[in-house]
Amino acid sequence: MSTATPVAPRPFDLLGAVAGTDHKSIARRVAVVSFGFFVLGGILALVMRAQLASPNARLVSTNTYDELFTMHGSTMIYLFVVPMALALGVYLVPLQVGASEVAAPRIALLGFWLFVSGGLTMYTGFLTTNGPGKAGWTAFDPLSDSPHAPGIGMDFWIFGVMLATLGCLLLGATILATIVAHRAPGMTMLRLAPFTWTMLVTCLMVLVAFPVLVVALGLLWVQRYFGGVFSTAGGPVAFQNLFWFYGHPVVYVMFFPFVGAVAEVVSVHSGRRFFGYKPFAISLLAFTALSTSVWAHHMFTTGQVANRYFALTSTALAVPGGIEYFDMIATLWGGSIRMRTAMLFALGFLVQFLVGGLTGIFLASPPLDYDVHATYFVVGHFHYTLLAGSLFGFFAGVYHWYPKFTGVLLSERIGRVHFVVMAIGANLTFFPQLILGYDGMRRRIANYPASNGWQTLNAISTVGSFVIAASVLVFLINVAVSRRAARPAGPDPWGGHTLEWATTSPPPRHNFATLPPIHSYAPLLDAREAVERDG
Amino acid sequence: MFAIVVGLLGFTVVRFRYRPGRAVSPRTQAPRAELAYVLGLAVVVGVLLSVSFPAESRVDRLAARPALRIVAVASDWRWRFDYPQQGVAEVAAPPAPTNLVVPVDETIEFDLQSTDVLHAFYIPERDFQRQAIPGITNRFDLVFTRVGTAGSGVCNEFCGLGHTEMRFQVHVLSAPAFAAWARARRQGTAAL
Repeated sequence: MSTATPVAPRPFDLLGAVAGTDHKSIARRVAVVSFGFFVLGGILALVMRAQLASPNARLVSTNTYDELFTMHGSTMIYLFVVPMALALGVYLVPLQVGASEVAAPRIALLGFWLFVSGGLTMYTGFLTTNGPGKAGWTAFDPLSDSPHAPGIGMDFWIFGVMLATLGCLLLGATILATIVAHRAPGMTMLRLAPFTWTMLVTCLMVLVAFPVLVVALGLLWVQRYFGGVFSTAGGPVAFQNLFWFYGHPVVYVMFFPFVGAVAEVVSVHSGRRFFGYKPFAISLLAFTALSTSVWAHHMFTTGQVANRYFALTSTALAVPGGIEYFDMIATLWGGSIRMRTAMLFALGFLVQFLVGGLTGIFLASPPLDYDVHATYFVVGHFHYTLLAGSLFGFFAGVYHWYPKFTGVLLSERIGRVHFVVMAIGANLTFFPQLILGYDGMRRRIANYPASNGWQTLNAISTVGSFVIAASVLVFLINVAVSRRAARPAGPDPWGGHTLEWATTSPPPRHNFATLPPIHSYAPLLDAREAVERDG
Repeated sequence: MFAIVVGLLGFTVVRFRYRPGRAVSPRTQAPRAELAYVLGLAVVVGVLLSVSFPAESRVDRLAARPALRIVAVASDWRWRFDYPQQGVAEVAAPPAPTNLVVPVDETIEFDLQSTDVLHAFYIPERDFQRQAIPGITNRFDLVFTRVGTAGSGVCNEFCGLGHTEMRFQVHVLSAPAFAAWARARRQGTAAL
């Protein structure tokens, strides 16, 4: 199915870009905008790393530094990883369940616009007298209250996060409704693609956790202007409880879609049916159930929570997490593994996320957490999970599905360079941070004295962050080169398993002309095996 | 643990690399093996918790009759240490660290408070921290076992502009030296 005609670029369609309700076009817009925020957030990080490259540096003022880390964290979480994860779902889930459309497409469109306006609102803070929000991405009360964070920039931050989160809530709701109500005939719940399973549990967590953040930030705004919400003795602890009730499930919202992407990449590119499908689904559900009862491990050092309960639930996460690793490795075992770029990123995800996961077990123990809480150990830990983990899973998915999204193939050679540069950069940046944190370096400090001996490790970390930036440039070059080369991908360049590969690339407006019969999660693999069996 | 998984992954990837015509295994589940593995993981979780819980009990234990009580007050952006039994208070103007003077080998009760936003009392060398929360007194006990400067403490909950500079310095004195210091401090002649 490789005709020689190159794919013609589409003319730009303004009305479609504003109001188009095709789920693929909505998803593309969410993805493009959130990738733009990723680049912005990355630039903020580079300025911070430049400041921290040497002790007692004064590249930016402490005030600016506080704005930088607040906006970096807020951008990456509220405006990049969460919406990007959901964009993958909005694009792929209708295809994977054999639907012609996402459920409630106009709600999804509204979600996109709420997300965009949230991002713009948050960044408008840079134009105000007092600057944007600078109370951290967590905006703990009372630091975020009006006496300590005066100025309209903090309000812009609050409303920006509320709008973006509300937008993501709507996107998640449409994905969940698509899975529940729009499956093709024969597509039972136990025949959902692995990626769709991960989106299902992701959206469950979105529905449970996101409203809590929207309400908590609404209350925070009331507190800023009228008081009386968090002013009592237990108020600051109550805000932390509300925030982390959102804040921990969101960690898995930023993780599971990429686990799903890696699961698909691992099975398709080793030519093997996904191993342990049912245990995988059960482990996802177990993870989801636990996700709502681990939040207070962020609060061990408050002395105000039942540490043992939350240590128990948090450590128990090792069980479902371990099942997922088992199934991935068992899928590779006995396969015929093609080392394409997607597979490289998937393996990078598995190895590097493991560093994040194992350091997480440390943090789940209260006495160890007393030592390293809120240090660079934590910064290193969650960057290993988010950047070295989720972002690698994201790129595994990008290299896997880009041909489906655009109809053209990315360059494998540039892709391999992208992978190598990014893997070097990620480990150079974040491994030194684990050591620094263990040595007692706090997070959120604008500079550090020369006497601690932290200079070398910080300098290495800074170099690494610029290497990561270079790798993102390599990716953008790959996109540009592939656009020009326009090598047609055909409907199914990899020998895919799931329904999105049963239609053209990119799929037409209503996705499918005809659907193959669905007897398992892998209808296309079934069809190929039937051909082999029957000759 | 990390080495095992990475080693296994590396071996798998090399052993099962693509060869033209290589047949893939049709096996898609191993419920017994996976169940055994899950039970193994559960045992690991149990072991981790059985180590972690007693350690937490040791760190969080509160003495019935501590030898000394110190009220640690965090506010934007400095530390103050009140010694109610001695009638002494220590405070400094940032960026100078406030002195936290303690006797060696005694159980010291700390009552941690905040007057404004969240702060955290953190001594990296002692591997210990606790959040200071406005409206709540957080109690913990510490024992310092070596005479000398036992590390520098910092605020470890982001608290605004002065967060980076919000420090204190721990000085551990012998019992007579501590008594002499408290006496001198009360008479207004600071001696450290």
